[in-house]
Amino acid sequence: MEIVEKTEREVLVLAVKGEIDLHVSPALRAVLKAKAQAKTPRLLLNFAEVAYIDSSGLATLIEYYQSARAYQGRFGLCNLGLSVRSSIELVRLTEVFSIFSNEAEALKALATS
Amino acid sequence: MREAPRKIGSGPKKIFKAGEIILEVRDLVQAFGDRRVLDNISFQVRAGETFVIMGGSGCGKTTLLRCLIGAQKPTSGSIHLFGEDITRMDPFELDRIRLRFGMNFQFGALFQSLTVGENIALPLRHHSDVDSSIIEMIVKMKLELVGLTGFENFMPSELSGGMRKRVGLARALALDPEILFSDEPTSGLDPVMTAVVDQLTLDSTRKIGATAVVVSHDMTSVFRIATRILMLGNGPRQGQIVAEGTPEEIRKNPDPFLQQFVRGEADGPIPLRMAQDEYLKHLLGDG
Amino acid sequence: MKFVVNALRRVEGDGYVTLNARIYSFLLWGLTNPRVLSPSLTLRQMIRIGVEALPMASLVALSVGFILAMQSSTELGKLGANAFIPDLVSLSLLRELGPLLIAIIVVGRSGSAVAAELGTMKVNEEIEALKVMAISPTRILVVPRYLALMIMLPILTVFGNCVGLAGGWAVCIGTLDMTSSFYITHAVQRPELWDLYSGLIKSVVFAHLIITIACYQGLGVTGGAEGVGRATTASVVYSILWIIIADAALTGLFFFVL
Repeated sequence: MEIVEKTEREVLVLAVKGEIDLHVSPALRAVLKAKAQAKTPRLLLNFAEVAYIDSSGLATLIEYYQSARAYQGRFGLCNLGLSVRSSIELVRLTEVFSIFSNEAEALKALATS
Repeated sequence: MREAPRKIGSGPKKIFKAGEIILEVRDLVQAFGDRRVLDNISFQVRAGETFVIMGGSGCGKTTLLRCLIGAQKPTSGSIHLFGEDITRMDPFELDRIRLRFGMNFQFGALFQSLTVGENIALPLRHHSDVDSSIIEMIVKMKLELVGLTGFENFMPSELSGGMRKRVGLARALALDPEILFSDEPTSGLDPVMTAVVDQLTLDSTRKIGATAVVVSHDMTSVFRIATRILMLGNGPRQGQIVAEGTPEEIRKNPDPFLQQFVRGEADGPIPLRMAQDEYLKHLLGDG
Repeated sequence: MKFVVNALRRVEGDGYVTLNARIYSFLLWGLTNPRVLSPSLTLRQMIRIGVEALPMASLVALSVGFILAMQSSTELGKLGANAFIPDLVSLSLLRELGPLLIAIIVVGRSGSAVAAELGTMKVNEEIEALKVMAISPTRILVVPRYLALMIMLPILTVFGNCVGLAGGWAVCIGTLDMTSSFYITHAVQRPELWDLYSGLIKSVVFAHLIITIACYQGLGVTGGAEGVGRATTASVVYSILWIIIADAALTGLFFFVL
């Protein structure tokens, strides 16, 4: 898994690349934990190059969502592939995460609030 | 508690795309003494399918499933799972394959000494380094899938048979398997729960892209989930393939044996009761 | 080492020797990676099959101490050799009766429980489920029980020896007009360290026999609840049989060879 970090319009964007499965998700978790500790106010995960996410990956996202909510940080996902979107739908988390179809839209929504 | 030499998803692993052959059985024979329980079975399952194996009691469905998961060595023939012949594997090699599929046992096969939550967490704890808070969340998600939210701390003995089956299904899904094997997942469930389990099987295959191989004789459920059906015979056609095809093809197939089974009729070629004269001869002796 | 371990794990079949090979493969692997031995599961088993056997083992040891002192006093008394009772009690306990009787108690209490527990898991398809999840039943079920008993039986034996000596002391003080200091000096001075060790070697061998036989019988159950009953009985019968044979062989070895 590779993560490219950039900041745009005060939103920290993490572009993730690779499949997020049981032996990758701990690495993602470490990154997100660091962001939560730094109390990143606005975080966007760009999943354009994530073909697959398993339950441990989803659990990692939920964990970040919980900690961000505690300090009123904003958190969004964008460019979800079909498989990733289906995985999120299957465990009924579409309502929980802010999901955007592309990065521009996500930046707009996250930056203004 | 991870097995040291390998991790899930590590090593040379071919990702199967929808439509590729993920399971291929060739000339499978399983004999116990003189009795051929499975007689020259050959079929293929493609990735993304919901493949249903059906047939009457004693037709060898469960034996076939046990062969497919490597719990039993067939007498002859080959089983290629993920492109590798599992009939030639030793237990150590087999474990590598076993991490990639989930098995839902007919009666759940839950560990009685562990809670429901620990049952589902066991494969995750054993095979990965994932933090226990993450595992807890996965357990909650899987329990929700089978409609058992809030039952984490129950012991299996405190649950009904149907609930145990659903916990078994949740445990089989814990590692997000590429293939889900299910042994009569809906027998003994009420109609609503049957629909929930069927929907879950469908979602795992259609949405997530996994493959399901289901053994069942619940006709409503079979026609609801199957993309392809394999019918095994019993009696004189013990362990042979009676028919194979899409649900439509099965419905239209004129084979009387098949039709009797699909419609659930007592009279027909499936031998349950003897003919009148034979019965009397058997009962009254040969005089 | 890894090569040996992996080769052992490739062994097929469910025979008694295979089970032993599997246990040793995990023990070898555990030398480099202690996590393989599941310390928490082992600890739980140590409590279940060791600590919980303590009251019963003490009662038996105490009774044996009484019996030894009383029986020997009738004969030795005739010879006016009552002074040797402490020696006799302590030697027979350390070398022979301590290890043997504690082992037999553990067979009845813990060996049968292990066989019944694993047998029930087998009948319930739990063993099959573990295998299908690529989790070795030997590793998470057998090895913790094996280690637990290998550690606990010698400890129980030492404990039982002490309780047995106390039983002998009670008889000597109560009925034979011996002083405590006399009893203790003799009972402790007479045996050599080797007498204790030979008993402990026996108890380690007994532990191995008890737990491997119990696990083998339990994992080999076929035929439902009735099969569990059969396996439990078989585990007790074979354990006691082999313990006594092994005892004879070891006593012979210590007596004639060493």
